[in-house]
Amino acid sequence: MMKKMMVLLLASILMVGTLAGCQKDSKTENTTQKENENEKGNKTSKETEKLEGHLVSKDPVELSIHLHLGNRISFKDSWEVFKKAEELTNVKLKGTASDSISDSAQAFNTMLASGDLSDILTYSLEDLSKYGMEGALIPLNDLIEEHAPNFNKYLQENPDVRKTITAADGNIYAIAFVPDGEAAAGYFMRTDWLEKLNLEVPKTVDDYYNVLKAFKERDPNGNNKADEIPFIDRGKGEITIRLVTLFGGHTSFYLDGDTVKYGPSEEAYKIGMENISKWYAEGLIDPEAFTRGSKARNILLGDNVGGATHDWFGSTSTFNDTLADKIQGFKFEPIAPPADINGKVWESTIRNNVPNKIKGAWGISVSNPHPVETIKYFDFWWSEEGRRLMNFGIEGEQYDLVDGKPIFKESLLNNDEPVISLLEQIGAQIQIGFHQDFAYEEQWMNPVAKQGARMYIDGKYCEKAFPSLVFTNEEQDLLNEKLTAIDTLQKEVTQKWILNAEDVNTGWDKYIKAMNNLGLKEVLEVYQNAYDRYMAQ
Amino acid sequence: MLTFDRMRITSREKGGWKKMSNIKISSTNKTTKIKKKNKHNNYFSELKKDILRDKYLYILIIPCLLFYFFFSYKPLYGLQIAFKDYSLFKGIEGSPWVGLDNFITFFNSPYVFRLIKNTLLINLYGLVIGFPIPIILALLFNEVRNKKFKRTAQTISYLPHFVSTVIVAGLVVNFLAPSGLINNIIAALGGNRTYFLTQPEYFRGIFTGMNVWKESGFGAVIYIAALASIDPQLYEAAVVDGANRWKQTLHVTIPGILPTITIMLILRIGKMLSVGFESVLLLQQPATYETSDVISTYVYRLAIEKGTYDVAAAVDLFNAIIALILVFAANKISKKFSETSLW
Amino acid sequence: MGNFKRNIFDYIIYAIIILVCILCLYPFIYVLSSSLSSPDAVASAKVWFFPVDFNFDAYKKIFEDQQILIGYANAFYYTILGTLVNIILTVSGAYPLSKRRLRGRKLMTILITFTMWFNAGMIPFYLNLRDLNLLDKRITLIIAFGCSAFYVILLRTNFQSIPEEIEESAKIDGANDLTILFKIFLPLAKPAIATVGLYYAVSRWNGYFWAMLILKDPKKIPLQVILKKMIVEMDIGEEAMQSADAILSLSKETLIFATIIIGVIPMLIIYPFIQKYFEKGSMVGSVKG
Repeated sequence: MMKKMMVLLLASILMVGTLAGCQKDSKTENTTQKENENEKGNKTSKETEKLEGHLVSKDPVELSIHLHLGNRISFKDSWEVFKKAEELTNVKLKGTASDSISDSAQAFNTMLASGDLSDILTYSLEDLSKYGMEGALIPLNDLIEEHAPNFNKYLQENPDVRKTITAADGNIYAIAFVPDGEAAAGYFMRTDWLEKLNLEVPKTVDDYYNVLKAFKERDPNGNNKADEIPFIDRGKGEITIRLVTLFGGHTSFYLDGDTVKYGPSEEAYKIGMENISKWYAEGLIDPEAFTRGSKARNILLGDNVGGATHDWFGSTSTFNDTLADKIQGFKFEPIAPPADINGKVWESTIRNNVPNKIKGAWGISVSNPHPVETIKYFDFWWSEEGRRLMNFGIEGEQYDLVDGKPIFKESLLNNDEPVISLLEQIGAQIQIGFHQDFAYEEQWMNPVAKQGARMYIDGKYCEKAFPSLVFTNEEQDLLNEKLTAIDTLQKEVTQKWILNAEDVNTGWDKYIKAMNNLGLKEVLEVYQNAYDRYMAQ
Repeated sequence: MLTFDRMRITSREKGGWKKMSNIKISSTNKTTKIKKKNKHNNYFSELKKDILRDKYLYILIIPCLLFYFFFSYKPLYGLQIAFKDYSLFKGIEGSPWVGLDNFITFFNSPYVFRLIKNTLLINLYGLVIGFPIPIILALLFNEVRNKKFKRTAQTISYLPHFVSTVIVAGLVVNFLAPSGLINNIIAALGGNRTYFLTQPEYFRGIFTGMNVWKESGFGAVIYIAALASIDPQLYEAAVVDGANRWKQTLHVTIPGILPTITIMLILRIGKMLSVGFESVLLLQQPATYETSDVISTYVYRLAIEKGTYDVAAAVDLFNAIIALILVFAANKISKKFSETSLW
Repeated sequence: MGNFKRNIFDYIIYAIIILVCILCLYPFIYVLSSSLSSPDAVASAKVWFFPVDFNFDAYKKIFEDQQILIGYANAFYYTILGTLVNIILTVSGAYPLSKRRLRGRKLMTILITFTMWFNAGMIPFYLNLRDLNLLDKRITLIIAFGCSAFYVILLRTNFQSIPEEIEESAKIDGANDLTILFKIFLPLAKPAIATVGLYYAVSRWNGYFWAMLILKDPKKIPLQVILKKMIVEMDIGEEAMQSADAILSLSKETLIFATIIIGVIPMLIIYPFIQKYFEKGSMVGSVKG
């Protein structure tokens, strides 16, 4: 009886499966249809005459755009910046991503899976390149050369960018957002405490250690309680781990000359861990660093116990404003990176080094009927006027031109809402493929942050970013397989060392052996090959 | 003239039609062919009779079956993803077959034993501790005379279910921090402060505790309802027989909700290999990976890297098959010892 | 002596229940107090039990927000209509399956329970809906999640425990299966149906994932999707940390807590109504007749 049942069951499932599978793959039908339209579109646009100003086409062109970034920003047809661009270029964009989705990945994936590709796809550079290689987007190399003079010029002047946006098959599938302004994060310290304890700003890592110790032992907040927490961490341990840079170490892949190395397997990392675990044991680092979470600064600075950290200039500097009334003389200021144990003064974070997943980019999908118009539209944003539009907003509304330089209006700067929020609401500073202009940020940056950023930029502290490499499918598969395991091991053991649950000296060799067993050597080989290819371009 | 080869004598016993005996009435060679035809006829006419008799039942169940067809079985062709190198763009048809590669990728992971072990152990804790508590809670509520107090207490107990896991986990982290409530109590009693969430040996207990806190009240509702369906006459009879409260619980209450408990248990056993990744992720620390890393969190980290729907699908399929086996086994055991079973 | 024992027992039970209530009440109080505190206090973790800097700002903001009110209305729509459909489908599935005489019963049970473990995954389900032309439609949320095999089995178990004598006597009186369902089984299974209805209602009210994926029109989205959006917006990425904006979004936390509270309140109100079905004695008099 059971057997009969099982056979029946299997049969019905198979039946259903084949029935469903028999549906014609509507997707391939759609795309071939659209590809035919593409060719038609190409032919007619070759015949267009030279157009005025930024106009991209004589007749208005409407394109659909999928844009959903950072889990919260979806394209709004009402964005003034894009409406202005429509006036100037004759290209209108219509957003297709749902506003209610709170997951950009889901939004993109479901669009892709459904087979209804929007004309313009906006997503992370890495993913657009990957799907481009599979045929979802068209190569832009020739289009850029023929129809995008502004961007083409930029590429010629910045070969690194060209290398970054070129996929493993040699094609460019998307134009990426290029941030501006190097300085991202730096060392912060309670300079008022330094004054109180008669200490100098630490210049070397040993000085830094001594200062932290002084914070711990000499009661700078003056309440007769040893409640000071010299070093605070908002990143669930990540910021603490980054202290290895003070010992010459790196937390991930980096370049030593032309060789790719993996920071957590190098000797410097070991030394870093020895010291950090010692600092932790001595109470110089927040004992709850791993669980304190994103409110660490609010809590610990607010309680007048936090002494130092390493964090982003912009957001960290605002505490000087918000805590001015609450804590007498509160000064939490950027200091230059202390020289590491090799005497080198450097900063490991740099803006361009934001992981690919967050950086936006946009490209032309294979079902786009107007590729030439689209690339010209893309190019508009690289012209001076287009760049200013995306960075500053609309002249007369958000800013005025003073001596040829855009200056934000007072009403914008003195608003309750932050400038970046106001700009995003009209569609400016959206991570499409454009070149950011640091000048926009400097105008509303907290003066403390500005001074800190300047210090790091002028001092050339920020280490050059590790290039974003592109991998072939086989290489990618290998990385997928091995990196997660290597990452798991590294995170697990690192935390145990810092917590002093295990001793780094006795555990190091075993750790390296395990790393190699997990395939670290192959991973490094893959990275090295990709890097060599990158350099050879 | 038809002669019957066998007569099926059936009897309705304990809710099932059972064949009682096969009695040979007569059998001649002439009637062999007719015998076969009769048997066929018998089968179909029996079938027709039964369907007609139960026609309303069949009509009733059709919408339900339709629902399952359209929304559960039709998408099942998607199970193929587990066997393909799936690309969202190429679609299911366009993605190439890779056989068992996805499964191999998962099983080749150096951590796979640890992941399975942790998943099973966490579920075991959940089963041994988390399963009885809603039942006990329901029984306790049952003993309360004061209606108002009972209703209020029940409502309060089911509140934590509605506070999202993110917040409850945040509270747990705060309480267990070195400067948190629990450690303050420990210190006051003269003990050492412990950073609980970074020590692997505490993870299972903490995680189970959080789930019990959050879900017991809500989970008790099923048992509360089951308790309400017990015939009060059974209680009256027991009182007449001189049973005290404890004996009543033992001989009336518990047997009364035993079918519910059994089914819930069987289904729970089917979940032995799945642990929701979100709640683990919220309490997990790298230092506790050796006890806290479960299948779903590892697959989650894998997917973060490269959006690997195919490996995730393979793992899900693997889970489903194991679950089915476990449930089959539990069901068989339950059939042996009680009247209740899934099928 | 019997009396005395009872009292101790009672006290212990009461004590345990009170302890449970305190433990269960706490997270709710935390959320409530946080929603009534100042954003600053919440951000610096000052709120533990009582509100700090008591104010109704978060609630004011909510009721000014059109989106949230629309979401509230939609949530009611989906929950009420959806639960109704759920109950109908579940009962109509459980009742026939509870009759042992039904041919094909075992097969159908297996077919239905099979779906508890085997599901094709998110993408195929989504594609299926698209093929059936059910995207961005309210009705989709109602019917595509119309039935859970788990509850069908639960209800079936409950139906099975109703004594056969009752059914037999009704059949003698000339009733058919349908009448028996409506006149006998449904009334007797009220607690179970109430439970199943409650669980469906809760899961619909709390559900956001599929509503988020299926619905594009902002006029159709339910409350929880909006809430999820707010929570995610708070979890800003590293890049945003470069701007002062980062700090201000932490101040939206009170809004989130307030939205959680107004989301929970209907569930709080509904439970006492369901509870009356959980009173003992629903089967009185049935066997005698």
